[in-house]
Amino acid sequence: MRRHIKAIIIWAVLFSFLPLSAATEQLSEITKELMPAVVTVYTEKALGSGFIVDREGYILTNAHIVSKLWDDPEAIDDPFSAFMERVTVILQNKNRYPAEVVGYDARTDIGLLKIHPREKLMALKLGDSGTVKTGQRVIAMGSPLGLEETATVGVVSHVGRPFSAGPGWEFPVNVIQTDAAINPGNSGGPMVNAQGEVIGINYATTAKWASEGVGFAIPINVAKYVKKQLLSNQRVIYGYLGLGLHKMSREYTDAFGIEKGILVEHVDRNSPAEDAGIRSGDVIVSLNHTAVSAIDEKEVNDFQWIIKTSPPGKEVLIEILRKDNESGLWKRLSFNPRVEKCPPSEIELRPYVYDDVGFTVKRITELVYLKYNLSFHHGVWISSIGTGPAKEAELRVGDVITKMGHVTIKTPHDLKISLLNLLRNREKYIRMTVHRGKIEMPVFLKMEYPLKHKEALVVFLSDKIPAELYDILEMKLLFHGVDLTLSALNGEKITLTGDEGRFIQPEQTILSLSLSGYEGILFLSGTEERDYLPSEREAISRLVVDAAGQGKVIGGIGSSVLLLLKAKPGLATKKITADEKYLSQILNMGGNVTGRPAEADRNLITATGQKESFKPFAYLFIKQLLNRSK
Amino acid sequence: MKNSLKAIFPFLLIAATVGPSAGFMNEDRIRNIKEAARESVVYIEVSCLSQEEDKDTEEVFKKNGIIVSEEGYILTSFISEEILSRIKVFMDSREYTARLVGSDKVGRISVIKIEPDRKLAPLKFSSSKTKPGDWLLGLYRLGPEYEFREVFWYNMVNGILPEGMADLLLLGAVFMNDGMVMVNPGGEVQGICVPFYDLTLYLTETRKMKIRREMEMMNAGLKCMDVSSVIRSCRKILKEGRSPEIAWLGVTLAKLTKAQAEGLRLPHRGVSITKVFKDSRAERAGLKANDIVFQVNGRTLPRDNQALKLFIDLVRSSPVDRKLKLGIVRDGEERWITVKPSSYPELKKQRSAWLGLTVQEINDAVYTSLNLYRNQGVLVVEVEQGSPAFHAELRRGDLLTRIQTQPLPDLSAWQRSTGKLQEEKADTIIINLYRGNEAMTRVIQPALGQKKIR
Repeated sequence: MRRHIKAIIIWAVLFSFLPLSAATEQLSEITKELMPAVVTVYTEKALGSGFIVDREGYILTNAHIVSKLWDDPEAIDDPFSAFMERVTVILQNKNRYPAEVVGYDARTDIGLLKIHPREKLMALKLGDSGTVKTGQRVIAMGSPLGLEETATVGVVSHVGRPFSAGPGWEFPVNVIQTDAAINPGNSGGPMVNAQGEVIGINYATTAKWASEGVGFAIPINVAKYVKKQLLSNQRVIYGYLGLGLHKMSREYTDAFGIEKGILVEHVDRNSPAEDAGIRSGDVIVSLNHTAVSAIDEKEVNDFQWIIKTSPPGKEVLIEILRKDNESGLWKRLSFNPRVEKCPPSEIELRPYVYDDVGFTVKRITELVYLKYNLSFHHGVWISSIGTGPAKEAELRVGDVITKMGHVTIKTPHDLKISLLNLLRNREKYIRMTVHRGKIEMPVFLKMEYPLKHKEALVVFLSDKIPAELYDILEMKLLFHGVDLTLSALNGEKITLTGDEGRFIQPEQTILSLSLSGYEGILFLSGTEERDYLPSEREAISRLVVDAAGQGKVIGGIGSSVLLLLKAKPGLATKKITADEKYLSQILNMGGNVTGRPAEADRNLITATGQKESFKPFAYLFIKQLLNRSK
Repeated sequence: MKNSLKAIFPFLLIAATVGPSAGFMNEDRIRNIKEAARESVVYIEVSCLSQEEDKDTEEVFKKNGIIVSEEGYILTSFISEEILSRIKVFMDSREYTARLVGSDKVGRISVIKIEPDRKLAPLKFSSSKTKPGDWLLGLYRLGPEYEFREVFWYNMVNGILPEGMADLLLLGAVFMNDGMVMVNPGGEVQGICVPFYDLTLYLTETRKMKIRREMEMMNAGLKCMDVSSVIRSCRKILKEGRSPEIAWLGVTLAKLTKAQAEGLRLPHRGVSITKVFKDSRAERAGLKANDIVFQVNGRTLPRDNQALKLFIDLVRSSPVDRKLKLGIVRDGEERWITVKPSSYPELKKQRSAWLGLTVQEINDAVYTSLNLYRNQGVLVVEVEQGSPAFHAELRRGDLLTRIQTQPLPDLSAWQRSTGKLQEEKADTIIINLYRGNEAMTRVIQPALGQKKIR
C-alpha cells in the first residue's frame, strides 16, 4: 500500500513537470532559432543589444545606447541628431559592421540603426503588443558583448504599466512588465512570445523603485510607429492638443454623476485644446465619433497615444460633458481642435550655453513652467550654472530672466542680442531682472573685459561659415573686451549655416587691409576648400606673411589651415592640427600635425573644421591674447 | 628612565618661565579660581518628550547651569519649551525640581528657577567683552555617575568671530560640554557653551515636524558664546518672566552681493529686501522691495551672509511692538524708516479627522515662500496615512481651491463646506487643487479609510 502511494507520488511529480519541460524545450528552440537576429551595439560610450527587423539591415535598439542626450543634454544643440559617433554592430557570427544611426526617439527610448551587410541577414517578425496577456510566457533576448548570447525566460506579470523614466520620457508609455531578468546587457534586445514574434524592446531601468524580478519592455506597437516616423522624417513628430487628463474611476463617476469618460484636469496655455474652448473640468466622452473612457492610468495613456500619433494639421472631433453652473446639469458639447506638432520635451529643448558668463538658458515651454513651478511664461529660465559672473551674482538654476539691460527678454534669442549689445558697449555691470519663485530682484553680472582696447581681425575665407563657430567666437571675444573687425575677400555677404537665413556683412575687403592695430587675426572657413582667384590668393598670402612677420596671434580653422601653410610654408614646422582630408597634403609640406581638435603653438592656433573644435579654438585664441597682454 | 626625565626637565622649566606673562598664572591660582566658581556651577538634567507616531519617547539632556541669583535663578543653554517635560538640578547632594522661567530661541539660552532653602552663591557676569588673547577657565560639573566631580581647563582665547548677534569664542583644542561655563581670572562669567543651531522658522509646520526640529536644536553642535550676548538674553527673560516672543517684519531678504552693490553704486554692506508681504508691519511702515537695509537702531550691518544673519537676529530679538529704526537706501538715497515688528504670525490650522486631513489658511508669506500658484485657497499641511484624504492621493503642499465645484477662498469656507458635507454624510467630495502650477481634480471618499470607532 505504502509502496503504491510512493509510486503514485513519484508519477504525479514526474507528470506535473512534463508540460513545463515541453514548454521550456519549445522556448529554447525558439531562442536558438532567433538568436542570429539579435545583435550587440557598440558605441564610444556604452554597449547594449539590438535586433534586426528587416533583411536590408535595419536594427531596433534603445535610444539611450545610441544617443548622447543621456550623457550631457546641456552640451547638445540639436537634440534630434545627437548621435553617438562610433556605432558598431556585431552579429551573432561575430561579423562586425559600421552602423549608421537613422534616428532615435528620446521620449520612448527607441533607436533605429542601419547596417549595410555583405551577408544574408535574418530578421525577426514583429508581433502585436496589443494582444499581450498577463501570464503569457516571454523570452527576453540579448547579446551583451556579442560573445555570450543571453536569453531569460519569464512570464508577463503586468500589461500596460504606465511608465516614464529617464530624461527623455516626457509622457508615460504603457510598458510590458515581466519577471524575466532585464539588465543593461540585454536592454535594447527583443522580447519575444512563444510564437517567436517580437512583442517588445527590453528596457533596463535604473529607477529606484524597480526591484529584482521586475523587468520592462517597450511595446513593439510603439516601436513600429517610431520606426515608421524615423524612416520618413529622421525624427518622431508627435501630435499635441495640450490636455492634462485623469482617469474616471468609480469614485469619479459617482461624484460627477456621469457614467464614464476621461476627465480634463489641465489645459496647456495657448494649446489647440485651449484655443478650441476645452476647459479643465470637462469630461471627454468621444473622439472622432468613437466613445472613449478611462478607468485607470493605462487607459488614459492609450487615449493620449491616439492623440500623440495623430498627424499634426489634422482636426479631431472631441465631445465633452460640461457641467452647467446654474442648472447643475451636464451639457454635451463638441469641439474641433486642430492637432499641432508636439512642443519639445525638456531634454529636446535647445540649451543656449554661455560658458564665459557662466549660465545656460532655455526657453520656457508649458512643460517647463509646470515641472519647475515657474511663475512666468515669458522670459528665459536658467538650466545650469557654471563659473563666472553668473556664479558671482549667485544666480540659481530655475531663475527666470525677464529683463537684461533695458530690453525685455521673452526668448533666448532676445537674451543673446541684448547680451551682445551690452558686451559691445563694454557695460561693466549688466543689470538683469530675475524672478526666483514669487520674488523679483535686480541681479548684476560684473564684467571684467581683460582685453579692453585690443582688436582682432576676422577674415572670412569662404562665404559660408557655421553659425555656431561665429557665435562662439563673437561671444568669447566680446566677453573679453576684444573689438572685432570683419573682413571678407570681396566684402561679400557671409551666410551663417545652420541658422536659417542669417548672414553678416563684413565691413572690409582684405585686398586693401592694413594689419596695424590688430592684436590677432582669425582666418575662418568651412571644411570645404574653395577656388580663389590669383589676386585673392596673393592677398591672403600677403596677409599671412605680414601677420606672421609682425608677430600677431594667428588663428586658422577648417580649410584655412591649409591656406596658412601654403602662404607661409615655414609655419608647417610648428605644432598644428587640421581636418583629416588635408593630412597628406600637410605631411607633404613637412607639417607637424597632432590631430587634436585644436592646437596652439605660441602665436599659431589651428583647429579642424569640426563642431567639437569651435570652443577649444576660441579658447586657445583668447588664451594666447591674454598671455601676451600680461 | 631617570636620565631621560632629567634631560627633559630643564626644557620644562624654560617653557614655564617664558610663558606669556599677562593672564598666565601658576597652578595654584588657577585652582583658586576654580574653587571660587565651583559652587555656582550646577549639574542639570532636562527630560524632553517627543511624540512620534502616537508613542512618547523621552530624551534626557545633560547640562550645566550657572547660578545667577541668591534666590535660585540659574542660567543654562537653550531648553525647548515645546518638548520639555521636567528639569532636575543637582546641588548640595540634593535633587531640586526646577521650573523653566523662559527660553530665548534667538539668544540660545534659558533661565530656570529652583526654590533653595538657603541663599545661593551667584557668579558675577563680566562687564567687558572677551578679547582675543584673554585666558579663560572652562569649568564643567559631571553627573551622578562621577559623583558630580568638576573638570576644567585653562586656555587662551584664540579669536572671536561674530555670528549673527552672538560673538563666538575660538578656544582651540579644548573639550566642550553643554552649558559649560567660562570664567575669567577675576572669577566672573565670560562665556557659556551652547548648542549653536541655526534658527529656521516655518509657517507651515506640523506639530510632528516642530517637535523634531526643536529636538534637533537642542542636539546641535556646541559653540562658546561671549558673555555680552548672554547678558542681553538673560536680562530679557528675567525682566519678562517668560520666553521672549520672536518678532517679525514680514519681508523676504537676500544677500547683497558684491556685484549687486557695485552695480547699484552702493557700499558693499547690508541686506537687500526682496519682497514685502501684504498686510505686514513692514508694508505699513513703507518698506519696499529692493530697499537695501544698512543700519538697524544705529548698528551698521556688515556684508554678505553675516549681514543677513545679524539683521535677522536683530529683528527677531527686538521687542514686539517696539520701534525699530532702519537705515535704508532706496533709489540711491539714504532714508530712515521706523517699523514696529509684530510677533511671528501663527496661521490657523484645521484638522478634519474624518478625512484624515489637516489644512491651513494661507497668507502672502506662505504664498511666496512655498511658491504657490495663487494666494487664495487652503493649504494641505498633513495627510494621515491610510485616511480618506490619503486614498484620494492628496499631498502635503497641495493648494485646495474648490470643493464640490464651489470656490474655496479661505479657511472659514473650508470649515463651512466640510462641516456641511460631514452632516450630509457625503459619499464623495470633489476637490480641485493646484500641485505646483498644475491643476488637478481629486475625489475623496470619506468611507474609504474611515477610522473605526470602537
